[in-house]
Amino acid sequence: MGGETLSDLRKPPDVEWPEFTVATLEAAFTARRPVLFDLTYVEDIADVLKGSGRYAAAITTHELRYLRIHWARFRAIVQFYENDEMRQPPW
Amino acid sequence: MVATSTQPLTLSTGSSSLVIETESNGWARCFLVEDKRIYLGADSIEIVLARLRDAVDAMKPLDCSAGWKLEGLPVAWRLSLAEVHHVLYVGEDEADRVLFWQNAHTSPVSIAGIMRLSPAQCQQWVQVLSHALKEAEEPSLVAA
Repeated sequence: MGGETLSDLRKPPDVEWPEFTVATLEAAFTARRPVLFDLTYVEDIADVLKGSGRYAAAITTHELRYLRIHWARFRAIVQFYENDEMRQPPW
Repeated sequence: MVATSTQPLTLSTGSSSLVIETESNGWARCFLVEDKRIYLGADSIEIVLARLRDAVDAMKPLDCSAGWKLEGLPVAWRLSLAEVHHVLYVGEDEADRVLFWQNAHTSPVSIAGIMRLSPAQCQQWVQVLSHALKEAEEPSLVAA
């Protein structure tokens, strides 16, 4: 499908994830670079969006909530997919 | 250090181990086992194995040009895991490879564990990881 995934993001060692991931999303928006968001392995999406559940503190939770809040801007560059198929946003 | 499709893959340095547990859907969870067992995060088994192999392959020089340092050692980034998001950086200390597992859930960020591999251990890891990667990518060929 192409594009970068989380495992490709070269986080500088002195930067914390929340700061880095938001900066990465905003940089992609500024450059109008497409963002592919893989939901294949995301469990309990309803809890994730509420900020609760097993991975409430995970970066995926942080990213999804950030995207939902700023969806009016990010809908132009973010595409969700699951099991290699495009899908609608999870909210 | 032998892995099958049903058993966890364990890679040891002597003082610590990296354990990779793979689910049937190919999602691989990584644990650092020292005096305690630390969950590092997860990704697809192919990505985990390939990035780890690159990290310890002495034939592949590290690009430390970004100027990043951990514990005073120049390091290169190798892998950012999902779920609990530990990050793997790799440095070189004389002939040894040094793996730094960074905990991204502390503020400020901290080192969850350090694994030092001799050249012989690196070679052994490369062999094991290459075999496991081949098995993950083409299970029928390896089984045959």
